[in-house]
Amino acid sequence: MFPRILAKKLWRDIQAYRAQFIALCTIVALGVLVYSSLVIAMESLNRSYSYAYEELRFADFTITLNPVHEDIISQLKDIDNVKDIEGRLVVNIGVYISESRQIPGVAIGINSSKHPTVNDIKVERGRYFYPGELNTCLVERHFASSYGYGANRTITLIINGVKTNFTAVGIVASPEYLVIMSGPLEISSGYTFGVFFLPLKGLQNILYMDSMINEVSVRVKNRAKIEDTINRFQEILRPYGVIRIIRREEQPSYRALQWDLRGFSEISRIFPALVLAVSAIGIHTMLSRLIISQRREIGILKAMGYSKTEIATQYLLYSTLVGIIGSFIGGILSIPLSRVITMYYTEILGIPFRLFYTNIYAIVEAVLAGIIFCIAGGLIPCFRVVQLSPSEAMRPYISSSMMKGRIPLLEKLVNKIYCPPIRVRMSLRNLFRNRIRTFSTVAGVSLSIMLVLSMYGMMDSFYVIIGKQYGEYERWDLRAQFSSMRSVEQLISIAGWNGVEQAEPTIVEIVKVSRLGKEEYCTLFAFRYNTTMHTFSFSEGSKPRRGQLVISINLAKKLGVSVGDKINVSTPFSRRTLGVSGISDEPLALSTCFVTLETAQELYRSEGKANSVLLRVASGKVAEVRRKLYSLQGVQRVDTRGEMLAEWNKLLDQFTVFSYVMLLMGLTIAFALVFNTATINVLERTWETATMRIIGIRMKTIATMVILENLVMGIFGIALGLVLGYIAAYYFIHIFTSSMVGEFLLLKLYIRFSSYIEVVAGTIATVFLSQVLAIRFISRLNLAEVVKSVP
Amino acid sequence: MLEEIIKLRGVTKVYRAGEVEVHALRGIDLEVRRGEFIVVLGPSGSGKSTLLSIIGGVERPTSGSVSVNGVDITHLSDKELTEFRRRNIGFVFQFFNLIPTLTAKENIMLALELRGLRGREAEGEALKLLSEVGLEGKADRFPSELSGGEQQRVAIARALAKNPALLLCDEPTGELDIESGRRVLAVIKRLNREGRTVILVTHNTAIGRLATRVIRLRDGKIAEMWEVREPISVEELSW
Repeated sequence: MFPRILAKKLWRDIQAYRAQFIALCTIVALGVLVYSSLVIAMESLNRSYSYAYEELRFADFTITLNPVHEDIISQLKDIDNVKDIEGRLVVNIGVYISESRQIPGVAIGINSSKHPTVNDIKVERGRYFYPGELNTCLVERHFASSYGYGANRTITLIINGVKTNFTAVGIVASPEYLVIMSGPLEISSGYTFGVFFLPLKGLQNILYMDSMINEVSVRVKNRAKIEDTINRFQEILRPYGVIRIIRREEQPSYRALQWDLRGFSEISRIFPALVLAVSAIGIHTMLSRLIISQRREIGILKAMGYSKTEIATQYLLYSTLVGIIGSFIGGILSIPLSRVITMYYTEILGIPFRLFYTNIYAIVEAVLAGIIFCIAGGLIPCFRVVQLSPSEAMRPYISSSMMKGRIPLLEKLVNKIYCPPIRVRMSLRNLFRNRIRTFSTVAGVSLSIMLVLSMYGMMDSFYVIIGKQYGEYERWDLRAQFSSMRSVEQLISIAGWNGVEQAEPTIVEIVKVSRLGKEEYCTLFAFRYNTTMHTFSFSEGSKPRRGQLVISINLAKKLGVSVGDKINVSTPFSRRTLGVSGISDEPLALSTCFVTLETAQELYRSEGKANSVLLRVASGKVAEVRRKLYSLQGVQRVDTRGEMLAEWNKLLDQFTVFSYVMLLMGLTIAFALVFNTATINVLERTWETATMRIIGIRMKTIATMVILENLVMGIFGIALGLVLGYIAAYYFIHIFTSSMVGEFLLLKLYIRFSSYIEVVAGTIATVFLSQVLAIRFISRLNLAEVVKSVP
Repeated sequence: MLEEIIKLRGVTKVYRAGEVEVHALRGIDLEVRRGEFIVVLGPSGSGKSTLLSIIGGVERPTSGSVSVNGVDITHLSDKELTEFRRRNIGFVFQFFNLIPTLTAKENIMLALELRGLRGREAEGEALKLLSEVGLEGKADRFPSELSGGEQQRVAIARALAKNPALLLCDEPTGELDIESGRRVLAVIKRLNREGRTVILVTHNTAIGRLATRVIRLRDGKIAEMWEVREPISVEELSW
């Protein structure tokens, strides 16, 4: 039975150092909170997504093909393993927003008499189509919320170059557009891309494609047999011209969603472990300090006959209490926080269903981990208590190096060059006085920096690569995409427009690349060999010449090719073998290949033609030129580089919310930890500082000494922390690239110089701030009382 | 008639601990002349250390006035009190209060730097002061490598480093054996003979025989005060 009097003593110790106790509990609570809330939120999000995909019957695969009569569906329905099948007509359109603004979009013709059996939509406001309706539409929720569209509003869509008005009868959510992908590389918030569902018959009428469809979406009974089913579909549809087959995992929106989830779910497990390790160090420091300050009491208790175990238990109870209180607070708070995160995410992503799942196991796991880490943090100091003999304990504590009369080697070396004032020497020597304390302070600061810098690194990397893509690699101001090929001369003539400095025709299309039985669909970009609109970035190789191509690094890996190899490129018009001249490592150009304009024209049998034009425009003329581009026949979309960059950044702001949550927690933990170690360092020497004040050393001088000492430790901690932070950030990025994000973005670690400065300045500020209280404490010391007390 | 260095008028000191008030000093009037060696005696809680703290500018009186070396310190700010202590007072404490991370020499240099001495000059002066207290060979020892008596002599040397007008010693032999205590007192006595004013607080009545004047405090008041006509030498002292 633990003696009650020792329990009372423990309670009083906690009260005496309550600020430190609270700080430690806060650190542990945050560690547990980060872990459980993120794990629970991830689970809730996963369930919400899965439920949405299941409830809305998301397609297992989709085949895009040349227009074909819809009767083909009845033939395809009979293929073995087909559960549900839906034929649709999908066309790229323009969305008329205002006189000066049009955005690209997609119109999807679906059955108006009943909800689709595959890729269903959830009507969130308004209603579904009435049977036989022709000129109504359903608006996808991202676009609707970006422009504040409600039901019963007229929307003008530009289909096949013709403006047509539709009445929006409902706002809907679609499993295909949980994340809006407006193009092969372009993600959208809904502001730059609109998705509209139209009655199939109505769309067929507008396009003069009566009874025709160009897309087949399929759900299978058994996913294990999906490849056989796809092969069967290909066999039947080959005569009609299969353009592309997209499996569920390749679907852009589905894939983009994994970006956030997979990477962060890994990190949400690793990051809290780091936080708890930091807590253990904090507890170790606090307990070590407590034990040193109570050496005499420990000696007395031992001399009185209290056993080692009883005394050690007292201190171990301290760390256990921190663990229990902190962990329980963190565990309980994780339930509402996980709900907030889930709600935020489902809201910004537009997930039509929201499922909360409180994973009690995750909370228990985190609480137990919190307690174990705390106990571990208290073990070494407790072991030291056990080792102390009563007589030794009752002597004042002096570090072993000072006991042996050694002056630290570093100081000896410094003294040979420069003999600093005693006050400076004293501050520096204090670093070696209690090496464990110095080590734990340095470790505390460095781990705090690691937590914060790794999160900064994550966020910076996302923003920097997007900035690089649109700042360094893409050199155009405007890009106009046409629905079909037109003459290069016509496109070049745009250079003669007022405000247009340069015009360069390009081709952007989807192609199939294959080598040794492996095949992949990818986006083909064709530029002139001496293009000034795009700067290439290679991991190896060089720009493509005629008959050559550059492929993205992920495609190269999938196909197992390197520079010099040959691969087959297929379009609906031809199939050619091209030599690989380079491997591109552009961050956004994944699943992409680059060829010269001539090569693309050969592939599409479109000599002297292109389907896109890149423009460099005089500053201030972008809006005007864009307006004029819309007036051209067959313009499908006009993008500005600035708008695309802004759109990406806007999306990143939403997607990186987890990083911000972790960054915020990292900062709080860093503050709590640095506060603890810095104040402890000061409080440990109240007796010395009181003596110095009595002999006439000014408060300012003492404050400078204290700050100098903590700052030196801080600088060592910062240096080490920057290295650890870089490694942690590198590791986190590696996790991302190994996950699905690697399919979507080529992430490389970039940490902005400003981030380093912010982290370092923030840490130094924290060190300073945490000493303000300690210095105030020194200035209010009862000098007479302190110097009379036993050291 | 020797010049007055300390003048206390109606000094009281009341400590408040929650509801409880403790009257440490009750209306002390005292004058100390330059060059005096005053020993303050009294039982625990009589106010000896509080009196020393108030004279040394470590604490402020609750009421009354204190003037030391021509400076009225009663209403000085914390900053001014620090300056006052720096210029006028040398302290010697019961527990020596040496900085454990500094060697004997460096502990003294810490105080010398307050006088503006630096580097070799400060080092030379520190060694001189150490030799004055008989610790020539122990300049580079850390406090933990010195005996209690040696530590206290370093503390005295540190107090002297500022060349103070007044040396205040709070139980300087309280932690020492007789022989070490004698050595420390010998140094203090010599400093007094050389003209320095000393006020020494102790429980030890015998030490009063070294002084030129003895004050006995009881319950915060001066219960007795007498001049010692023929102070004895340290060698004659025993307890």
